[in-house]
Amino acid sequence: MMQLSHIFKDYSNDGVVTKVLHDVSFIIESGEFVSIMGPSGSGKSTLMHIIGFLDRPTSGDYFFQDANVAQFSDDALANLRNERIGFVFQAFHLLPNTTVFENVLLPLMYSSRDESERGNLVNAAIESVGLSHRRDHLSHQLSGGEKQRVAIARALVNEPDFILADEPTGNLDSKSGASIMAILQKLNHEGKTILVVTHENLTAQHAKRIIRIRDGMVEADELVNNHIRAMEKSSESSFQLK
Amino acid sequence: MKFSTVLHTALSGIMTNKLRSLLTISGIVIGITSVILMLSIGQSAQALIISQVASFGSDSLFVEPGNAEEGGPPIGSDFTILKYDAVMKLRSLPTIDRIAPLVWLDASVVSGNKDKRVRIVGTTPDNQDIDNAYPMSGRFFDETELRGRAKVAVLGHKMVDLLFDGEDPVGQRIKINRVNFKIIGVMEEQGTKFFQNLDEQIYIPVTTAQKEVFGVDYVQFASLRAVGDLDIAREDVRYALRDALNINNPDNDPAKDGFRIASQVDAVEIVGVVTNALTLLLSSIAAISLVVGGIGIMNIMLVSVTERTREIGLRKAIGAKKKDITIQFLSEAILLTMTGGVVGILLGLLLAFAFATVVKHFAYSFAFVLPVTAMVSGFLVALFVGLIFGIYPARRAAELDPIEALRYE
Repeated sequence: MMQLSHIFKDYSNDGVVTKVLHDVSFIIESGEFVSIMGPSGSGKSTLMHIIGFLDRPTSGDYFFQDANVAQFSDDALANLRNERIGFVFQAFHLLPNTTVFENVLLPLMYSSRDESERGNLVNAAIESVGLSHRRDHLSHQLSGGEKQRVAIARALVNEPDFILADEPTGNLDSKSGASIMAILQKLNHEGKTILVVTHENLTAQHAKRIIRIRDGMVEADELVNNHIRAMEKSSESSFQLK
Repeated sequence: MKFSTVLHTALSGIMTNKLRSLLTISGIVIGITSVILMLSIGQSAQALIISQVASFGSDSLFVEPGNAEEGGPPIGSDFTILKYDAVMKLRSLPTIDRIAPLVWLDASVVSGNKDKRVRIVGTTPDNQDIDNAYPMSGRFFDETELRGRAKVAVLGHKMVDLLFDGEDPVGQRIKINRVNFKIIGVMEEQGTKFFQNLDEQIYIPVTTAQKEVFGVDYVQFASLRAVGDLDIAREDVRYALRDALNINNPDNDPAKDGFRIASQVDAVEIVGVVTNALTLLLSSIAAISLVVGGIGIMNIMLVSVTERTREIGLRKAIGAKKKDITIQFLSEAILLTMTGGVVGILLGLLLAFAFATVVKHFAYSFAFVLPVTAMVSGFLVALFVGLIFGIYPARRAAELDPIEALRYE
């Protein structure tokens, strides 16, 4: 469970204070699929950074599984990022000249997991995004959709409870985008809590709940009655959803 | 992170840009190579000089003209100061038991139809005990022949081949500067002593050399063998020579005597001083080149950190701590400099070995020396350079804000 309570975030630059988040409060329960939606500059990315332990709020409390995040040291936050959440970014952020396997392995290098487990975890994560046949390919040999699937495998490899995706379809064509959303829906179906930050309504409609942010404030927080199911539309033939 | 993981990550970081890594470490390679090369050659040269100096016995004293007590050529002093009779008076000293005043000059030597320029050494029978070298056939000249200025000669070992094609020369006659000499003996093989090949010279009585061959009344050098304490013997020789040469030196200042007395110990000390100065000079040059190399490493590491800002951001987002990032970049820098160090050591050894092999063909017993201390210190210095010049870029990488870093274009 993630609970945000009266979160404020200001940035000051050369004495000019920019208020990015203004009294944001909501709760995300385990197993939810939530879209955080808003136009650019609304503060949705900052919100995701705070939720993902990359940033700290100026004021307000953030409880993660009933623990106040403010009490954690930087190293403890690094451990939380490593073990409890997986990030998916718009720009993929794969390492260049590195194989799919090595990219997915990366989070395990910073974890305390046993060395003998690693190979199996990586292979399982790659398989769950349908890229086993690309395991030993270099990252720059992949298509955009494949790159994002590698990124999802990387987010999954340490078996976190939460997946945080920042505009995961932003750099993709609509077909590849749909396949990415299908994977996220499948993961949600398997019990992962999914948080997608997006400015696209279509992408947001894949979630079960949408939190709309405008000018740093929660504008609306609503359930999606008939959310889009992306699975059948999946276009990339190599990927079949079970 | 495990050590193997750290090593693997650092290695892949370096291998992504092979040419750049190679150029980056070239400064370190050159620095370490020159240190190893110079120190190896220096040690070889030192070993050679010391072995040559040590060929004078440790109980020997040498008297030569010259003012300065500590080395240096006898500038502005009288090189004819050492008169034979005066030097021979040192024989009466209880602390001296052998004495060999020397004159030497290259002279024309004719034997049958052979005419060669050979070093002629005028000396005394005591020369045998001082150099610890004796005739292998025939005999050395004796005191009577010395006093009587006998025209007798003892050949160095190789002269038999050079003048007589290997036939027994004892009893034969040769002409030295057109003066007839009878050969009475051949020396055993001696090798080199202070860079002089003792086997390619001819010994004659010093008295004969002065009167009959060179026409001089002084000697160029005197070798003495001391009994007991060397320093006491040295003082005895100094006072006795002042008396014998009528030198008035009320200040008792050895620099004003006009002659100087040295021993093997002095020579070894001088070699040590020269070698140390040389080592210091080379080390400072090496230190400069290593600092330059280190700055090169730092520069490239800073470029690398900037280029890989997004990678650093990603690593932090997926759980890398500051410590992990610091270690990653620091180990990359250290791996670079250590590779440079190892390559430099191997290259330096190779060049030093090649140098020693070439020099050996030309002269003496110049031997390749494995400069173990230099190798160990070269390796440690390389590691240290990586640490010193890698820490700043590594810290800069670790301090990057992950959010900013991920957005970096």
